[in-house]
Amino acid sequence: MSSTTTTHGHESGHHHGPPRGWRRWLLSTNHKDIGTMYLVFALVMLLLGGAMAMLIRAELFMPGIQLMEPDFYNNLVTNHALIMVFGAVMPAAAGMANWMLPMMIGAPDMALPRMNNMSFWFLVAGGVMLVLSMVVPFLPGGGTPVNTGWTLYPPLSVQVGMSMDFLIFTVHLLGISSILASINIIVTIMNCRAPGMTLMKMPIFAWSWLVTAFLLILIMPALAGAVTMLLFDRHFGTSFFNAAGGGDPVLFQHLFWFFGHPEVYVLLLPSMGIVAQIIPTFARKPLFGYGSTVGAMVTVGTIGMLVWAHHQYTIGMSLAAVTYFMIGTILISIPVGLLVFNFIATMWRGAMTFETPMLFAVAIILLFTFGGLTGVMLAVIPGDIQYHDSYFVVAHFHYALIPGALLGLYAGTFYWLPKWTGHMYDERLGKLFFWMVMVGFNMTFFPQHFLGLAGMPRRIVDYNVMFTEFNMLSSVGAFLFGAAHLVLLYVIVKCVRGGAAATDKVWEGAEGLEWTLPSPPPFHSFTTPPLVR
Amino acid sequence: MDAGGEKGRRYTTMALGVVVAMMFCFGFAIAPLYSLLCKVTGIKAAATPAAAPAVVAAPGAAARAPVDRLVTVKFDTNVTDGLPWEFRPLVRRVEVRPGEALKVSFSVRNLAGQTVVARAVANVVPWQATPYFSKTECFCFQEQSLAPGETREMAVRFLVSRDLPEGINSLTLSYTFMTRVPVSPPAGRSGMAVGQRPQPAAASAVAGNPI
Repeated sequence: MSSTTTTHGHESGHHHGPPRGWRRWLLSTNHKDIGTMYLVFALVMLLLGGAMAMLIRAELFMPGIQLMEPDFYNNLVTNHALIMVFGAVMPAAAGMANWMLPMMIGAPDMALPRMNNMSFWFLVAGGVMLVLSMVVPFLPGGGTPVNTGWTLYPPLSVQVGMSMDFLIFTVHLLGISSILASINIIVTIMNCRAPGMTLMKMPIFAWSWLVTAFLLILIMPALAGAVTMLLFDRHFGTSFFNAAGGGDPVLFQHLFWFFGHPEVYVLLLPSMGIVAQIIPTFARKPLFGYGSTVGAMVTVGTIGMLVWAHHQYTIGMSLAAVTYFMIGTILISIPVGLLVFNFIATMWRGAMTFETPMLFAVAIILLFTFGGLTGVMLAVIPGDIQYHDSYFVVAHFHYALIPGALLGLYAGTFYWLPKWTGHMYDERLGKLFFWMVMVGFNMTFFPQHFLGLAGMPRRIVDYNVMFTEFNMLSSVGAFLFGAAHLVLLYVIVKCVRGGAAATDKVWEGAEGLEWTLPSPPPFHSFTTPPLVR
Repeated sequence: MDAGGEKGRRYTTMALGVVVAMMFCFGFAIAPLYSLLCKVTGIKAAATPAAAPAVVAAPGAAARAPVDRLVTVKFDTNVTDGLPWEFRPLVRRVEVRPGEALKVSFSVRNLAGQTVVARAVANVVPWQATPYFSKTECFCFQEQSLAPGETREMAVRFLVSRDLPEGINSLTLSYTFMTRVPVSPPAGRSGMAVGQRPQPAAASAVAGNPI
């Protein structure tokens, strides 16, 4: 430790605070600046992916084809998913990890600051490639857009034009970015904790990220391998997925979902960690069952690695295989249920107040549980074969991922924004945002359960006239949900620019090292490690 | 709590890097590993229907000695809506030793005042047993025509393979008689233009293979 402390003292002796101009950002090795850049990048991508969702819902407002070519519609569906998953949710969670983890565990910075810079700029490069993959089909000779859905299943993905090559390269870049970020987070948590902070004394957010980072380094390389095989099949005459050459397209599905299912927990766990920080703060009670919450997160991650093929019940696996995947999947509801019960028990007889972060946390418990319930329905084989590729699935994963991941990030944003900026956000606008999200989100996705059960397939530009009313309702809800984000943008900008000064502790019930620092925290914090008892 | 300082961080980073490299290779090794797993444990051979029927279909299969174990075969009979036939098995269930051929009969009666032609479709439940169940002689192999009020006994000779998996001790052979629309010369059929949609009745008459 002593060596790093002196290095840091040496560096800051040269700089006297943050460097000025563009160099501060481009060459940054400061966890707070990199965290900010991650969060800004995520916000931009969120608005871009959200705009795509608005186009999708506008097209689906009425049956028939009004606004766009079917191929472009499918491209929107594909890139909406990829942008939201890789561009918005993962970077936002990584940004919060960058900002908060060193302060929470009493470290001066991330363990590998230069690698931290590299992983962020790889992410930006990946984001640019992702947007380019949408643009090339409009250029002469650009070929067809990526119309496969985010799962990129061959044989279609082998036939798509060069936009698919851009997308494959995107996945490589994003994969490298998140692997580097994950290694950094694990090393920080394992090696840079303040003296006296044992693993079981860490804030629960750090635990959630430790599990997430381990998942990421296990799954991202597998996805990188899968898209590399795809690239080879497309251009170098191999037949990994080509049945005519002795390959098997189902192999890609296995590789993709070996990544894709744990990815759900990558998106979910950091937000659950945030909720587990927020609820004790606003219930003014310590988290109920810290040990079991940690255990539940580790268990979710472990079982989550082993149940991927429940996304592929219809490919003709043996009865033994599908039974295994069904039972494994249903088992996950036990640790997830434990998390939910721990949150509820924390609130039990707490002195609760309902500021915006707490409103989000309570809504997450309710809505995520509902998404989990439809998840258990989908895990059951005969049910799944009925719901497969219908809007029921769309409704399910939006109910799982919007409350489970996105709303958790909103909660974290409102919870930590005063700490980051030194200003309180506008509580009234925060609550307005919350209620617009609640009404808009439920109105958008609840009717989609009924649409799916009635047989409306997903990823298709047009639909049967009998589905019109629910689709109109869903679209109106989506526009409200989209409009809410203009409020979010305004609240954030307003808070960054000024507002009532935030105290060090910000929230009355807040506990932890990060709240002992001033708001906003100094450029270099904890250069001398704090002592934790 | 900086475990080993610079050295500790380097060690953790290296270890994680090795994990990443291994997982990348795992993606490429997954298919060969699965084949190896199947070879060692025999999962796929037991579970995939395509792998099994060769044994059953082999001509010598019937000649091989029966296994000393009893399997219950139950019989289920159905007729589709609108087919005026009475269809029932003469025995509800039999106990059979796998590898032993057996003949059972069904009684079919035409309740209508005209000749009706129908054909039976067979089905084995559970489906996992399908490849291990073979019919050497069956009324379902061809269409059956019954005169008004006629009753007939129809037979099936079947064999349960010796290789029937241990877990399956009972299976059901289900027959459904499907209607064949009474043949009447479809009006104007010969003069029908290409691309003209045939009437539903005519369509089924054309589709049904006249014997």
